[in-house]
Amino acid sequence: MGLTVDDYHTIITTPRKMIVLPIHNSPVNFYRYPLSDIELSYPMYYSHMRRMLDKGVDRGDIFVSEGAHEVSICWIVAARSVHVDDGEGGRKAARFYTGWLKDGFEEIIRRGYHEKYDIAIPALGVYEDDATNPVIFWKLARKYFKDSPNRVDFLLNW
Amino acid sequence: MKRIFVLGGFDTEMKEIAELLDSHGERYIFAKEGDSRVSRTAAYDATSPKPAYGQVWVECCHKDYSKTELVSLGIEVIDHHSEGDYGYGLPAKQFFEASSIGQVHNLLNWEPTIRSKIIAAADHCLMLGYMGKCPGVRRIDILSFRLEFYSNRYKDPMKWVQEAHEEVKKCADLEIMGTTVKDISTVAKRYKPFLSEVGCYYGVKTINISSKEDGSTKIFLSNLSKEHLARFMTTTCYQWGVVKKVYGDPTRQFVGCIYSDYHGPNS
Repeated sequence: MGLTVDDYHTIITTPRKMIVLPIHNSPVNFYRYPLSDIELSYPMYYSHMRRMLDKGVDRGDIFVSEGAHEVSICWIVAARSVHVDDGEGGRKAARFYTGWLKDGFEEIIRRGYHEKYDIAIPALGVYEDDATNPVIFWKLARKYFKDSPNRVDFLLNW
Repeated sequence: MKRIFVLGGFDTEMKEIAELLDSHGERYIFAKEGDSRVSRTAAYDATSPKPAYGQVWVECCHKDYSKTELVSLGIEVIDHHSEGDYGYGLPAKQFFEASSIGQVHNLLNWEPTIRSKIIAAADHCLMLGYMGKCPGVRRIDILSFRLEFYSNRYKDPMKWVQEAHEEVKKCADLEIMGTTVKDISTVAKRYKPFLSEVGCYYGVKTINISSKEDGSTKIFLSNLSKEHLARFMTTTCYQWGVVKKVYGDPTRQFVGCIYSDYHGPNS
């Protein structure tokens, strides 16, 4: 089946059974998209994710929220914080680290989630706020999921 | 990554699991509270190891994590004591797959031995095992195994069991939920280790009421019917006082309840 580009569904409307979501590992009280949508649509999973952040998770760690809703969410710790200083007295979105995302994808493969679930991955980098190079992220997703036995959707308009 | 088993408090089943893991070259460590191995009661408040993918936690849990949270990290959890555990509530005919030792066998694709089956039956549902409800395990097998266990500390354990039974017969009858149970709270301390054997081997319904050092009171009901125990867990226990914790498994025919303020059955 492998990796397919999906420019129609969002992370909330995707019919895939597992959504892979990169997050930061800073247990603070502010967040950016998509977590606001996740909080509204999958409150139990959001709560679980926050608890796990409080307990301490590290780079490339993954954990799965499942059972409370029809889909499962696989969280990848891929950024150190939500926002960073922009050098001009303001704040800008912290970038997701490619190395951390790579660790997370490797862990997904190692645990066999790509064999157990069909997966949706948001195309990091399509929005400026993602602070991630979209081409590098696409190549990374393609490297790990192009031969996946189940369908993996790469959500462009996530 | 090679898996590593994290084992809970010491009991016959856990000892056997450790020996089996040893003999099959599987790695294991003990869950710890501080520097020492957890006891059975503190097995769910372990402070180490830190939960990580690749571990299999057996009848224990880290104090900062729920079992569900361990599972979300990709950790295997083997247990049958609480609601949500794989083996919880499974009937006696599925005693082996329900027990922790059976779950370890299934995870590692081992063939069960008769000894493993006896331990599983005795651990998961001792009374039903004695009643012959566990397929492949005879009443006499369980009794021999249990007596062998006691023989480390007692010269003639069967004699002790029989004497304990005589003591239990002398205990007062208590009417609860329309059924009669023996109140074994007053049985002499020297017979206490044999009370579960007496209850299960002779099929005696029992209640044990004990006071704890922190001022709480513990009630332990065994061998009543599944329906009575389920009723006690859901409604009756709350009529007897202020409940701190209620636990147990009606299918396995035991329920415990800890009260911060105990009034008694007639309150």
